[in-house]
Amino acid sequence: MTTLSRRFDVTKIAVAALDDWIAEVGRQWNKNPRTVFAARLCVAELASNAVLHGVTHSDDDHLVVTLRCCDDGIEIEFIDTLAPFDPTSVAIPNSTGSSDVAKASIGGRGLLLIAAYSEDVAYRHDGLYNRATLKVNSEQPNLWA
Amino acid sequence: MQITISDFSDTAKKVTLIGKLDIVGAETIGLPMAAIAGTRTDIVIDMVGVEFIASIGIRHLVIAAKAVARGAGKLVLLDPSPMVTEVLLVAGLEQILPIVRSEDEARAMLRRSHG
Repeated sequence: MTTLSRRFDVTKIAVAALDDWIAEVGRQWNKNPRTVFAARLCVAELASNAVLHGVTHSDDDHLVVTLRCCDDGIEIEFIDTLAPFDPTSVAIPNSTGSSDVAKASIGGRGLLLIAAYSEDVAYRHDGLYNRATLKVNSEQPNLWA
Repeated sequence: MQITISDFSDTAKKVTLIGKLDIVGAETIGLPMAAIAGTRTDIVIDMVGVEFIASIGIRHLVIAAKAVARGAGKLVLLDPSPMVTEVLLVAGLEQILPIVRSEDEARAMLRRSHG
């Protein structure tokens, strides 16, 4: 099982670089484009959430993303040094579409997308890092997440 | 992310997006999208060149759709890729951000929306 890991700063530019890295690794591993897209999307949601909403401790705060190539997809570990935040503890909003533009919520779809595009999502805090793990494959998304 | 704004028919504007609608792309389009949506004219967003979209990008599209709707206008998405389309469907936005597959279909939808 091939494993690659890389550290990134908690910045918008670093999130873009992280996305480029996942796309490149997916190509190197010859993964299904749907699997790679799912990996990019889930990590983009976690990383964007960290950048936009995470409570930082110091200038040394960082993200580390580990990708593991497996037969049926990609396993992902996303860790960060920000204040503890459990993405699995947040209620997933209903994905039922509204026809009323005025009543449509502006945001809050990131966790919904993670739920739809991944499986086996888990979280723990080890005292230093938030550690989120999940798995993506070409069967996602689950349209009924 | 590149953003280009042009006329679309007599009354609508066309916004062409090329690149990734991620956290950086969303920041790039934020101001120009707000400006064009503030005119409350109909908007057709050409999504053909958008290869990736995340929720932060969706957020800007929804904000623009809401602004346009306040002026009784409509915002439609032109021909996003299958994987971008899927993200929008999963997010439950098929009615808020209707998708058309051609410029003719966009014109027809805008005509219908104005009765």
